[in-house]
Amino acid sequence: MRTEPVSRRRRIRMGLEKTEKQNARILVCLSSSASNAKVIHAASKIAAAFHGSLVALFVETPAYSLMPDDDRKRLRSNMNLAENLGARLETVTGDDVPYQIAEFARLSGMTGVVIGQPNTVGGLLRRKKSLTDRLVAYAPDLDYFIIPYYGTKVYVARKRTERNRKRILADCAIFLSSMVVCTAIGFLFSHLGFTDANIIMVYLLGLLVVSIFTTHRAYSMVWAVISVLLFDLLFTTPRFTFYAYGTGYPVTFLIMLAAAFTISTLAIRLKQNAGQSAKAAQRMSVVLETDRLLTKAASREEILSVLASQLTMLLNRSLIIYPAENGKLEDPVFYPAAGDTVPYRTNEEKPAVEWAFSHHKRAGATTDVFPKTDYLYYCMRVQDHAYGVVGVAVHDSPLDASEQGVLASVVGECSLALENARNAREKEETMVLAENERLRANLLRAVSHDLRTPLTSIMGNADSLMSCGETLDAATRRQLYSDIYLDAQWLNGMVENLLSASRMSGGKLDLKMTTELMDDMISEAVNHLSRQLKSYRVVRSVPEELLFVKADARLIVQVVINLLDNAVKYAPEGSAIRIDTLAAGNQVVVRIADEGPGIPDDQKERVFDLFWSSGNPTGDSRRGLGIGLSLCLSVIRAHGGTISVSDNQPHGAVFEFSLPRDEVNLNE
Amino acid sequence: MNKPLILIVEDDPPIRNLISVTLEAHEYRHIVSGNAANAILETASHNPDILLLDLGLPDMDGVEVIRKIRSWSNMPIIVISARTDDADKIEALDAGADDYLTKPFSVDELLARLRVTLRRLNQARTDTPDTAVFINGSLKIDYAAGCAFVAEEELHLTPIEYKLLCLLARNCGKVLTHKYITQQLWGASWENNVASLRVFMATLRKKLEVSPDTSLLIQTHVGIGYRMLRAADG
Repeated sequence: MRTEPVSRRRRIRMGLEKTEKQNARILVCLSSSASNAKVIHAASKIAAAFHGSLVALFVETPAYSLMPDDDRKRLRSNMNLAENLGARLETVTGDDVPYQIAEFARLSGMTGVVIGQPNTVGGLLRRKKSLTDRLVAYAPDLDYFIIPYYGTKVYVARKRTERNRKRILADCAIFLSSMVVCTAIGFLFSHLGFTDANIIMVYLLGLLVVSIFTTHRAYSMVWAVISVLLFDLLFTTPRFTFYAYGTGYPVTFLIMLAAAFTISTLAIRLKQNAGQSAKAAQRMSVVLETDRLLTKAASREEILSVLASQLTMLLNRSLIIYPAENGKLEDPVFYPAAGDTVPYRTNEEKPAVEWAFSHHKRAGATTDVFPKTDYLYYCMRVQDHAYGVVGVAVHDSPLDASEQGVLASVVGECSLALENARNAREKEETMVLAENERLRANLLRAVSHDLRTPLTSIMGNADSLMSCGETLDAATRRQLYSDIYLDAQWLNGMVENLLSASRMSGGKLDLKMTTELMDDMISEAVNHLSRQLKSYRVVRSVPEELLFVKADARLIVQVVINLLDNAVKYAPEGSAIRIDTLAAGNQVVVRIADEGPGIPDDQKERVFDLFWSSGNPTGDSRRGLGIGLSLCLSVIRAHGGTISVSDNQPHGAVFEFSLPRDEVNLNE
Repeated sequence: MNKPLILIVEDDPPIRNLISVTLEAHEYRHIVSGNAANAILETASHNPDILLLDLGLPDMDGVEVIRKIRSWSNMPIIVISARTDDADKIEALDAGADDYLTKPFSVDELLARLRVTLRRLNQARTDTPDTAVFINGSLKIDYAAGCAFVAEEELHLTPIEYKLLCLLARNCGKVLTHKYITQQLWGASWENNVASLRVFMATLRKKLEVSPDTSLLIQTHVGIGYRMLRAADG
């Protein structure tokens, strides 16, 4: 069975494949044997000598589930050792160890493999080829470093734990009951006068049942022998002896035995593969699902919630996630697993979290660093940048190797996603900054140009009044005074707009949203322009109900001022300006209609553009600065509303904007 | 009452000049001051009737000046501020200012504010503190009976509306911030209270619309608060 190592995809995405390939990449295999430590040390030295990176691989075989606790402990300590020596841990599953190693090495571009080899002098028992020989056969291109070791007895007699004892009892029960049932059926068949072949079939069927439902193949083997003996004893004439008269019987027995062995071997392998595939497939699917979800998640919060949900699904353990921003850990989010009632001991756990975060390594339970904690902590990092720490509840049941492998993969994926999100955010910020900068530059240019016109008029008029005011007649003087006043007033309006615009730049960052009565804001705008509006008929229609909007009052007042100002600019004196407020669904609509010339259809799209103005856009006309309407557009958009312009009947323009309506819960 | 004395506190000479020329033209007595320390001294020694105070002073924040003066005097203070943020005005009003003017302001506006304040001053001098009836144009509030009338017609007000009306009446001529009003009405100033206040204000106004001279009695200051005007000031 092949498991594509997740780490490879990760590296490709990181874009490091190329650079790393030039260096040596050394693979060392982890095992539960005590001598494995020596091999790991040697591998680390080799990797250092080649200036290469080290990957520690554990091949999880079907036998792993039967591994006694002592061995598991040793395996974990070997894993920790490898990690402390700078190796990256990986796990693959399969029953053919050399094949898995070779596949992994090929797929992740390893250049060398370090393996330990027991130096058994008496080669008599070496019936099959050694691991090294088979590995070389699978992957002849790799460099091999063989670390011999003497005499360390790898296998330590298994302790029969309580769990094992239970299992053995269950297996024996299955075995014996199958035996009884098969024999009973055999007697029934023989009583009914069926041929021996049927009885043999029944025993073979029983064998299949036993090999599938018991945990060890010894049961199948014993069944094979006993079933032949029973058949001989019970069903061949003479009955109840081990003799058999028929000349063919010895052959039958042999074939039956051979068939039994073959079937049991096949059945057991099938069962193991199925179990392993299911487990591996589930883990793979979690990793793939994580990948898929991460491509959708954009924000840091989304990524962390994907991480939490995937790890919960995978491990069914309590989780705690400490996100980090700007190199500082933030408050954690706790995801308790169902049934986990052990409280989180922040004071005891925190040092492990801090350590994992600052050293970019694992820490906590089952590691050498702060092993007394309840949780195992992984640092989410990409290269030198740490994005947070994930803690997995260990309590008294350590994670197995493949769980750790997948956990590391998922955490790695999420770290990458966090980095991508950060990069995207930074890129976006730079772009927004650049865009703002461009806008600001344009604005400054336009503003300074447009400010000059009224300033020239003010300075010139004041100057002539100062130098030769006495010689001018009263009407001329009055004209000059009023020009100064109007120009100053125009400048003031401009400054108001610029102030509003400065609050708008950078999106809707500085909006002070409060619940406001639309009519209050319109009244304020009308008051503000009372001097200009004196010579117009202002007609207002106000609905019966109170229309509230959630808005930055200052800015909305400015919008209404600009729209009214626009009407005053274009409509002839004495004409009517209508202001209607109405509710349309969940929107509040304000309509300002004038009786001016209106706006031609081809220019309606462009009225809200910055710096646009009707007539002569490049001339020195003081109407040149289109900032007013463009400000209206950005303000209304920032409030989640819309603004548009249409024709008034028989002539004139109608500006209409809408804002989301707000409800008020009365507080009596 | 004699001609009132007005203290102008403004550090910018052209604006100081503009104000004093205007006041002179309208025959108000006035003294000027260019900084906060001097302003406090002048206030203590001359006891002016009205203080026109610029918020941006070189030696002290204007709001601080208000707090200092409020520690011993209830004289009306009109704040003059460059339009930067409503928050500055609200802070000044909450510190005890009576009204505010935004730069650039017109001369008419300045004079109108002075008239409003002076009228309030005169009213306060004629009213005894425990006046049981408040009269403003055709609006009459009978505090003892707990009811309000417009043109002798009783208004049907909810308890909150009545409280609100009384609050505005007691501070007639003074701008009351949202925060102040909500604190007086509900004891707390939450966002939702401010929104509720707008509703009650709108319904109260609708009820006051029965007479033309009371329909515009309550002024809205968007983003800041409300003020009741004297009927003659509208």
